Amino acid sequence: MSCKELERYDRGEMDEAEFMRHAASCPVCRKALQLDEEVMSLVKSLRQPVEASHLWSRIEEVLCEERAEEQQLVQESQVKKKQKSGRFSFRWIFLRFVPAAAALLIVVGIGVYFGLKSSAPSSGLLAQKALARVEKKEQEYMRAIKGLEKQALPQMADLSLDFLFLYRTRLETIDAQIEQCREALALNPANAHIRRYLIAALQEKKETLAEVLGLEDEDTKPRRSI
Amino acid sequence: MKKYSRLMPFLWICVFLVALSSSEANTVFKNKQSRAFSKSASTAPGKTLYIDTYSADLTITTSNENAVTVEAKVEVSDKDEEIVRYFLDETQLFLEPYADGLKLRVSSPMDELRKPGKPPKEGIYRRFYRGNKFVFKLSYSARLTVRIPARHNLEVENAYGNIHIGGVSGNFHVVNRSGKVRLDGCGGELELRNSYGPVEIPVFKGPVSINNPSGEVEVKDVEGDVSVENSYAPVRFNTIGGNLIISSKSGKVTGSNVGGDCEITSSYDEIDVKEVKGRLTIKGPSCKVTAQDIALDAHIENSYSPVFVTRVGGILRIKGGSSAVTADDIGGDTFIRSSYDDIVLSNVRGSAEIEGPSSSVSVREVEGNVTIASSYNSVIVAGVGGWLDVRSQSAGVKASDIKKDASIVTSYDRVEIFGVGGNLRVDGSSTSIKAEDISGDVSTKNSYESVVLHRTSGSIEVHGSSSRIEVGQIRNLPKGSRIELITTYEPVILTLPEDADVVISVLPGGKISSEFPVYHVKSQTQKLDAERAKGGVTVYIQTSGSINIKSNR
Amino acid sequence: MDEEAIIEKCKRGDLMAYRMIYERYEQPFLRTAFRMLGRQQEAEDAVQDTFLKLYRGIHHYRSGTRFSSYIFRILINSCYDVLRKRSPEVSLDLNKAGHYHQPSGETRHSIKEAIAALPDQMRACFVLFAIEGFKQEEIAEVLEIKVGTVKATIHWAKARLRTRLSASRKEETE
Repeated sequence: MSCKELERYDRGEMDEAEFMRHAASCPVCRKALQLDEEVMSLVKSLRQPVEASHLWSRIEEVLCEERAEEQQLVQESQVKKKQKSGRFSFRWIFLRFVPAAAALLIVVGIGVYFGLKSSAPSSGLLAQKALARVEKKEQEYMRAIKGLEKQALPQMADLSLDFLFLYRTRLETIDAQIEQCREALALNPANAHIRRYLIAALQEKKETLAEVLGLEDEDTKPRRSI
Repeated sequence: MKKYSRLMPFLWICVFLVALSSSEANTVFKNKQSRAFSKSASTAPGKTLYIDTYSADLTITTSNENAVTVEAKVEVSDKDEEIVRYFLDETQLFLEPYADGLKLRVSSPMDELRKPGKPPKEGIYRRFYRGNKFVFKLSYSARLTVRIPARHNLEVENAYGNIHIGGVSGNFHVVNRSGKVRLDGCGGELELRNSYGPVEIPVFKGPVSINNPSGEVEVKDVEGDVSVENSYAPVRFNTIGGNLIISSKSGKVTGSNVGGDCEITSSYDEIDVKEVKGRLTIKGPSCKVTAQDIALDAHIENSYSPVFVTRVGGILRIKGGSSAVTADDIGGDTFIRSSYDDIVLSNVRGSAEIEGPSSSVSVREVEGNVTIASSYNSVIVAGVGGWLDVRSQSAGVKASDIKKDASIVTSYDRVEIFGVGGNLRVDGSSTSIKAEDISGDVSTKNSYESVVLHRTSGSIEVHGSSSRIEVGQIRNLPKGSRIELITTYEPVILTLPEDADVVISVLPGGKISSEFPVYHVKSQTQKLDAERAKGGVTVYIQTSGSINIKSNR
Repeated sequence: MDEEAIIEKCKRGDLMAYRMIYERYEQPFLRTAFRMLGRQQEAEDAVQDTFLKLYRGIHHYRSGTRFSSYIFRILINSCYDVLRKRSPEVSLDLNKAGHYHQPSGETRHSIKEAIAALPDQMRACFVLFAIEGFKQEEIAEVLEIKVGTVKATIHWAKARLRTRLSASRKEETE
């Protein structure tokens, strides 16, 4: 059995007061009203608390990560801004000298490699000019390292404790090796072996700092074998 | 500026080519001179040669004679020719009796310079002073080739040079720094300390102990125990006859074939070990760990990186934090603890115990018992030879083919069980329960969700709150067993075997429809007990919803 | 602290302010999401997603409008995202009555399953109205539909639930 008024009510075309007045004289609609009351009473029993005591900590973690990402983006854009400004900015130097420096590093690297390492090396000492070039390469490494340190060291403070400790001890170890090589070179400046190990340590320091910054650097591909 | 910067690389290449050719020529050395030395002394097999050098490349090989023969070349360069000449004149090679053998050393003015404090202002050294300032530009290097009897001990101390030892058997104690050390085809006992340079041991007949911070280590074909300590550089090993202990810091460790036990520690890199005939122990925070073919027990601890284990003959223990764990083919008991990532375990011939908060857990084919504690992610178990115990929360549990008892606790999801050889117990708040083919008794407790039991063979106890209950296709109703179905607001549907010998009491609230005689009781305490059933099956149903009891004809 | 002050703190990235909002809306959110999605885990994910979206877009909120409507809109949209990703065969009918063996001719559904079987927008309207006590104007703001549509939708939902309940009562008497 159905009732046209019920159909109107179900379509929302009749308000409740009007429907109730109609239902007083219509058994079909009266029954419908009773069922509606029963439905609503059952539905209200669904208003039970839901247990999720851990949920806030998950949400908080996600929001903290989001905040950290935002801060990193802000820092990166600040770095980029700095690089864009000024004639002698890092960007100016980067665009002009680094390609040439990269080429120099490659060729000097090849030169040092062939100059220093061969199956039957003729000398364990570097010739004057080769020594000058190796010293120049070391200075270039030092400049690159200085630039990377300025960016990387503040970023290290944002790392988790484990990573901070890892990178810090690694850099300290490399610095100790650089220091030892320099001490040895103070009394033996043209020794090819010590020079080779100093360059390897400088190379490793540059790689490690680049790793902290997450930079891709052609020049910093691992070259651990000496 | 642009044009210039483009040309720069080419300019540098040209400059370099000139330099390259000139670097090969001695003529650009201002006052580089060298001096050759040769010394020999008799000795006997089994004696010791002590070598104390600095900035020297050492090559040590064997000879058929009972003698130590040394050939050395010392190079010196400086602007001042006189200094170079004087330096070389003052340089001497000593090979003299010492302790239980001979001592080889190179003595030069360099020794004085290396002492702490400023060198004296006497003799050659005054040349290096400008006023009070010590200015030193002299450079030095040495190359020594030493031949010793094949059976001989070696004590070597060097720095800033490479050491290569070949074919010698004896006790080796080698200390070097910033250089490469290689022992080829040697035997005996090796203790090696190096740093910042690679260590290569391709063949060694005996135990090896290596300490090489910041230097890579490669050890192959070693007949004894091996111990390696290094950092920030990889370790590679292959075919170790005895036990292997590797303690690395942030170094990748890879290798295979260890005859004894294997213990590896590293961090923040990868550990990959195969074929260990003894026990395996790995501690690798933030290391990806792969272990395969471990004959005895394996114990692995790591975090934040996956663990893959295949074929372990004994017990497997894995403790990971936020690590995905995959383990297959384990001969003994398995204990896995991880979190926040998947745990997948299969083919275990012992029992399995898994603790994985917020991990999804998948376990397949375990011959023994299985215990799982997890949360918020699904648990799937298939094929358990013993009992199954799952304690989870807010997670779906699906289990099949459990030979003995099964106990499941979870919430806010669903439980599906197919095939339990023993009793089944399920406790699931707001959890729907579906269980089929249960050979023993069934006991469930849940709320707000349905309970469906099919093909049971023992007593049935279902306590629900606002849970719809359906029990049917009962296989077996043993004499004296009972069926108790209690819920609120929701219907209960019970289908009994046509010839069931049952005494049914109900505490109704809603409509009752039954093909069997039913006793109405006013409270639970009035339910009919077994005595009244006279050996038959007692059935008690309580709900404010409808009750429908049918026969399965 | 009043809601406007809390929102200002949220705009400054103060996580304690988000915590206050969470404490205020935790249960309505979880109940609504659970009724929309049928699974506790997904409901929690939807609530988490809501707070992340709130954090990212808090600056879009204009004071003077109802914050509860704004935040519930985010929640309902998060629930819709979950529902959209589900494969068509997955139903919210938690009992999966059609899946299990049922005596033929009888179909019994609890009121929960009846709500779960409602179409998505109808279910959202009905849950906000009947369980969370939202007014029709508030529901219209949340779902960004006309008040008249909300009114009609609630009536249709009631009619469907009434039909289901009536059918189950009829089966009981037979």
